[in-house]
Amino acid sequence: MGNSLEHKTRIFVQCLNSLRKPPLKIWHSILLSALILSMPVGLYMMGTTLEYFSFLVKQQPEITAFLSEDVEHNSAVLMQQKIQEMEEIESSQFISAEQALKEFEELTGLYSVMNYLQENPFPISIRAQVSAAYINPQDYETLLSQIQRLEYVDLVQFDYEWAAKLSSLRNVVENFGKAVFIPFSLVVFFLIISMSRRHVFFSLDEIKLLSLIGASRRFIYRPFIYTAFIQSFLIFILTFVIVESSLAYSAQSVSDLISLYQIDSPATATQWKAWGIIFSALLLIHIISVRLTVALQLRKLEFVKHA
Amino acid sequence: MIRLLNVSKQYSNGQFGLRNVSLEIPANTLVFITGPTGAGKTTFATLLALWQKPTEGQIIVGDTDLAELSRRQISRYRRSIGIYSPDLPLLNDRNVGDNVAVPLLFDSLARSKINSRVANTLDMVGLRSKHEFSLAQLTDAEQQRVKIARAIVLRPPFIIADEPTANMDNMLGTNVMTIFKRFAGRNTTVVVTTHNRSHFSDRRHPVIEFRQGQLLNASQGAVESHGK
Repeated sequence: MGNSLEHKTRIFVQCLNSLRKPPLKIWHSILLSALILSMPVGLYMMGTTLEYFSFLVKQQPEITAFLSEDVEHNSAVLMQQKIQEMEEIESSQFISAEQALKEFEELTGLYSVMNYLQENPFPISIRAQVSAAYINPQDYETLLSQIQRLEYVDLVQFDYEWAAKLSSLRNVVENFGKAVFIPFSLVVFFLIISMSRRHVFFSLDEIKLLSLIGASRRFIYRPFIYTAFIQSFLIFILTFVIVESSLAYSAQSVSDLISLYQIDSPATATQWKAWGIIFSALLLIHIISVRLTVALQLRKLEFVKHA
Repeated sequence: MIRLLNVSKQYSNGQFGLRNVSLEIPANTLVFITGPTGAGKTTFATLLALWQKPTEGQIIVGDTDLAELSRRQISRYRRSIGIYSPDLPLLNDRNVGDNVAVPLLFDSLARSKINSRVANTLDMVGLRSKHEFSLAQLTDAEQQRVKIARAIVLRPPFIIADEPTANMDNMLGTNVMTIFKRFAGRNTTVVVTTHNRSHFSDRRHPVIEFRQGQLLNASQGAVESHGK
């Protein structure tokens, strides 16, 4: 058991050392793979951050329906109920003229405004939060016109332009990420296969020797699997560093944007689950590719063909 | 005991490497296989090493019919024999000692045990002082001796050596043969193919001669058996 562990450790160290030797001096291939992989992964991470952010922001949009001055309190309460019953509305608040004035005073600091006015200029208003399921611009348009048509509604206000812009931006990033993800991942996939093949073809003598003197398949596979693990790990670490550095670089801008909407949320968070999937995928591709290549060579080399 | 019963090996190009060979090699002897180029010496050695399978006939080593071995058993059989062949490469990225140590790695021996086995074996082939040398620092004949050391490092019960003294001068060749002769006296069966008749001119070891894939004659010790 101890000797077996010692042997495996020795093989692992040999594999580490072999990375420094030509033609397995593959640092440029590893770096290239990491750089290529960083692009779609970075876009994906950024897209996910934006999606998360836009989801948070989407909770904030409100529609404010200002009722006409002559509306009575009971009618206004009925109006609130009507709006609340709409499918698209998640919640609503009744805001009396007095409450509206108070909010205005608090927001502007003009506490003595009523000294200059004969009467409260604010009408009764209904503030409604739109359900997350109806957040696209078309739904907003329909909803606004529905509310506008209601009795006593004087004016409906909703600034959804920023939400639409954010949604578009997120879509652009997401779609661009998806568009580049497949070709770039394919490039990384083929780079990994090429690295595996190069490693195996460089080691054909060793495979032939070990096979002909009776090494088990597991013994023959072992150094290739270890090297695949080391290479996948290095590609992963480099990609991680590149992407997380870029995200950290942009974190301040995202924080500034988030603070504008008074949302208490971290700007960016490391997405460990996504990173775990990326590492597993890298490792799986690498190990399958190297095992298949060695297996194919073993089929050719396990018996000699004299003529 | 090694027995070949009506063994033929025909290659994909139609040529015969061996044709209907039947013979017996007693255990714990050194047997020379000789004949001109193309006689079937290497085919015979590779069939014994199970590097290829006969197209016809049976090869029985001890109690084992080689045709009946599974892939895993083939590996185990190959591990149990020491093989020297020009077809078996040395690993250029490893030094002399590490090349000799390769067969010892399969059994997960402790490094200290491996080192002492390798040192003793290199001593036998006269290369102990070159343990740490890279292969590029060795002559062709020295590299051959590294291969021989690798074949005998396991102290196997069965050694197959295909032209082990090719490219060696007479003195070195005689030294190498002395190593194999020493093994044959220690419960080991050694089969050596060679076209150099001086190695068996003392008539102390059985000689099997092939020509054009057919058994020409088998001297005392190695018995030409009559197949079915």
